[in-house]
Amino acid sequence: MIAQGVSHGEALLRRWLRMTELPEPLQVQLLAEAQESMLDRLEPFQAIEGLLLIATAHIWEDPSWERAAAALLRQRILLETTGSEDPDYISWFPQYIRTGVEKGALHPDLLRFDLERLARAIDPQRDALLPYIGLATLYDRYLVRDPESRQVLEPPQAMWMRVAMGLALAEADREAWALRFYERISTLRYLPSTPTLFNSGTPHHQLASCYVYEVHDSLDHILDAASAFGMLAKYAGGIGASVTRIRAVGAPVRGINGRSGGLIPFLHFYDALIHSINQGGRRRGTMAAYLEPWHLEVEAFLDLRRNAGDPYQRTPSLDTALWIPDVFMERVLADGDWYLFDPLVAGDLVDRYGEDFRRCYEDYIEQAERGQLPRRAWRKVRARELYRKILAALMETGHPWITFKDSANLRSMLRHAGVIHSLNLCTEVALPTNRDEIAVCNLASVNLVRHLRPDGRLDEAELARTVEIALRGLDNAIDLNLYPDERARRSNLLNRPAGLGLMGFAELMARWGLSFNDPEAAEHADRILEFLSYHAIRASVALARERGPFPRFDGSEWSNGRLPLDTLADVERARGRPVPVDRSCRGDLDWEGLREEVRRGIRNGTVMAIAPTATIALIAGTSPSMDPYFSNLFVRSTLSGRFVEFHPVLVEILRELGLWERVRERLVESQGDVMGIAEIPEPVRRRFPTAFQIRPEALLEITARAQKWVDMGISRNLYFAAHSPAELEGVYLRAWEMGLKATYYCYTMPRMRAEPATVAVNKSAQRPRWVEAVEAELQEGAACALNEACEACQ
Amino acid sequence: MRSAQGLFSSNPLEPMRLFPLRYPWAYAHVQQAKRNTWFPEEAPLQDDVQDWHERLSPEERHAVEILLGFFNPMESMVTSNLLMALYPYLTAPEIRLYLVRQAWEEANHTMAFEYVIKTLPVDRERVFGMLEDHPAVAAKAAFQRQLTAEILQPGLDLSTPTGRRRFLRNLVGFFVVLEGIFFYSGFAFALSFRRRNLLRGLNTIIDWVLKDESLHLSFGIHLIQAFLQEHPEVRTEDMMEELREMILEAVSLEENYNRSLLPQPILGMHAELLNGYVRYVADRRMEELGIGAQFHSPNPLRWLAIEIDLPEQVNFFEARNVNYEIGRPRQ
Repeated sequence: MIAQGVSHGEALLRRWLRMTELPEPLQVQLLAEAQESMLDRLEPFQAIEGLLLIATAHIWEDPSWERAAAALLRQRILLETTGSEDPDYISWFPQYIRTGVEKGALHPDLLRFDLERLARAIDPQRDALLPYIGLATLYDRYLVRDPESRQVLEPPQAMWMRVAMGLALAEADREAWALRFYERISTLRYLPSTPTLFNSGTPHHQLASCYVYEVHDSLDHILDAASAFGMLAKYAGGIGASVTRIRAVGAPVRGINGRSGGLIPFLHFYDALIHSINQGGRRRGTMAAYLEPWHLEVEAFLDLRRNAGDPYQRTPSLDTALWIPDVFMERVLADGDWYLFDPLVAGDLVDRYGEDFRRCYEDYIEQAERGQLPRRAWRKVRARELYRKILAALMETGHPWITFKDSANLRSMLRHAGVIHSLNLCTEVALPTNRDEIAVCNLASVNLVRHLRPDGRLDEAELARTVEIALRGLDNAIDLNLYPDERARRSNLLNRPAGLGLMGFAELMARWGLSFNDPEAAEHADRILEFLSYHAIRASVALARERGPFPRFDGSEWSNGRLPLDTLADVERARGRPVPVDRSCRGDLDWEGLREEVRRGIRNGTVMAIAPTATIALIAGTSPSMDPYFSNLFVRSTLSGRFVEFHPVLVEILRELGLWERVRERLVESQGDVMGIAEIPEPVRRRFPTAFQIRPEALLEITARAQKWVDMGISRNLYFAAHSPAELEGVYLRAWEMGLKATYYCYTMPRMRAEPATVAVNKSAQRPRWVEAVEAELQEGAACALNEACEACQ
Repeated sequence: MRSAQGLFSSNPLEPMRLFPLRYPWAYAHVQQAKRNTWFPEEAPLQDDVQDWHERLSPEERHAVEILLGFFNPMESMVTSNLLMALYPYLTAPEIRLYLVRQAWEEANHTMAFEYVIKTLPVDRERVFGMLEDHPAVAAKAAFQRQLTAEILQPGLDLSTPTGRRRFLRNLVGFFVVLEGIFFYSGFAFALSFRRRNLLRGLNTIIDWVLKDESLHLSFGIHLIQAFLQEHPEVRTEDMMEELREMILEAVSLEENYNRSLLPQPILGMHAELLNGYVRYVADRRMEELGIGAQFHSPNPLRWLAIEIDLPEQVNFFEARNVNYEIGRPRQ
């Protein structure tokens, strides 16, 4: 453990610090702390890790340490992979590809490229675009490693080129396209999804993010589906699956003349399966089970993620979601009854939506009331009571996610291809499935803030170009993908869905002086999404001219000259009530011209899906998806570690105002909430609410305005400051009314936190805020305190 | 009838009549404690097992064994003290309600550390023997045991100044020294592994234990203040000096323990660094008790802000979210 030559250790530290080219005072402080931590007594490799630990420990005090950490980590990666802090890529890169192929880490077809030409295009300066958290994430999980020694083989620029080459493998002019992809990706203008970054250009080139399937009601198929889920998860695909068809507990099992144990034990089995697959430590196996709320066992489904109870009735790793038809929300609104059925008697509901579902559901109710269904196969509850139970589970466990079957189906451009039985793992992909077709989706996301011009406006010409290139990459991936299951290949080649999304919306709004609470933010969401949607459709139409439309084009909504915006009317018609979303357009895009072109052919059955981008946005160094900043100072906890994040725009402004040094401790104390920091001018404070200080209605408005233009879905997290079920009830009803297809995680603010370690707030004079809150509550009426108490004590 | 006699009533066997509350802060602690409910099995440990085999050095493994060998039995000593030393005397119903809740939490912590000890490939015999075999752990245990023994001695009379002084020593010794200093030093050491992305399952448990202990500590400080308010005659300069000496003795026990835990530096941590933190925490505790800081040393573990202080957004598929709370207001 202890290196022999002490002076040698110190010399190494000094050399490393010099290479980072950090300002002298930072270097001096780093060295002093390194000596205090006795790093010079450790082995060189450990000493370097120690230096990084020191730099990252300071990031919360001052973001310039973030640059220091990034510089150190960059040096480390370059040295480990190329042996030099300033590698000559022209000679190194072709050699890397050749040895990578030899070791079995890279796809042999990469040798067919003109490697020298590609190497000349590599721009080492672009490493500087990567934030520390991005580099750490790449280093930990994304960079290709030696299959035997696990040593990291490629630095970031080689990774971008490897991904670009993988996407261009089948292009006629493969170098030109690899260079175009590299140019867009390495400048972080867009990033393909994580599976593409992991696997493109490697022998196991599974590039798709999501797989969506359905489980049928037989043991045969439950086991068969398990095998498919296992293989899909192994290759880094996230899984969404409808489980509504599985018969309820107590239903007869003919083959053995017995009774079924029902849905829950099989979900526990899927939970164990998915938990056992950790994708080589790079990502965890993940799967979301979707259930329609008319299933007889819906209440047990709500408890799946609770932390107490029979462990065999729980699924700690499996995510759960409800696939809610309009009829349910209508009955909640009207305070009506809700009927639960065993799918063994009402299974065809799974394949119906809209008016058709309503008729059939009401028919089953009649049959039930007339005594024509076995008594064990149905049950009546109050819709509002079930709705409250759902939201209570959501608030306490974060599950189930609330998603909407009818708006997803009625707004699908692929209605002719079948019913959408569930969304995917992240609730943004909406594709039809059937027993023989596992839906697949390839994703990529445009980084809005990398398209800002010096004058602060969006460079629309560049943005359109990025969309076009990203979409081509997505279309290429469909043909290049390694399909872990034949049913997935079949579906993907028939529908050719692409899912283009975005990231950096919150950062962009902040740079434009807006918070999500400002109505202008929703206006911008509307205009930006219209632009992206228009160009994504246009790019796919252009690809259809070059490569032909997708095989199932005939009969699709596209082939009838319909566009995503047109389908909002279908939702209104089926519901018989308006969807309150502004229908205005920018006015500068030729939608009518595009409509005529779409009628002649489009390459991809879908073009857009707004994914959460939880990890790739970290790599790109911006805010994820269309999500707000969690707080102005917070820690992000990922598989690669815990990382401090500031709202970058707030820090810039505080620096300009000369306030940074004075308020940074206050920011830690307030957990990144600026509202109570009097030193910061009020107009500035107002611009930087935490996610919990954004009105949920404002988030819904932004999402609804974006969803207007998106043919698949949007992953929408919601944040609640108060622990009030009544507030949640209103917000989720509103989400449904506004035509959202889905919501995603529900974050509630913890009432209490551990005693802070570095700031003094728990002194005897000050009482914790939550104690004061409860005391105040008790003062109001000590006698009725029990009525206000939580259910757990009843 | 409900007597208004304060923390100590005449009859310890009187049934509990909760309302009207005399100590609403205690009831607030009970309510929050319920919301914090967690169970050890919620923390997956398979990555920790892999870390143990592949990434921890022998020195680090040994240090973790000492840590587990300390936490596991010490949590149960708190349970005993709560139920045997405090519960018989503290009779205010809402205070008692919290004491039994806390006793359950301490038992839960014991089970949590058992769960870790039985999942990680540690040397179990050595870990379970730590309390007797490891002198620095044994010294801390003896310190605590003595405090409980003082109360259990026959003839303790809380109506006498000596009795009350002894009682105050016990409150400070358990709520402030054990829960507020010894445990915090242990948490910091455990969290230093998470900084290196190691032992994340164990540290999820630490997150939860830390949240519980923050509540215990906060309850303890409230209780001590209420006690001093009702018995101002105990607050003599002598007594405060006695408490200070007790805390300083504890600091020196902890410093010795940390030196035995880390005879050599490990990555990102060494004994003197950890002891600097112990002194910083001790200062904070002395200020909370109103007896003034002793060391005036800054916190050398600034990175704890990242591990403890800042709000956390979890990438859901990648880590366990520890922030959901159970229970909710009724409609």
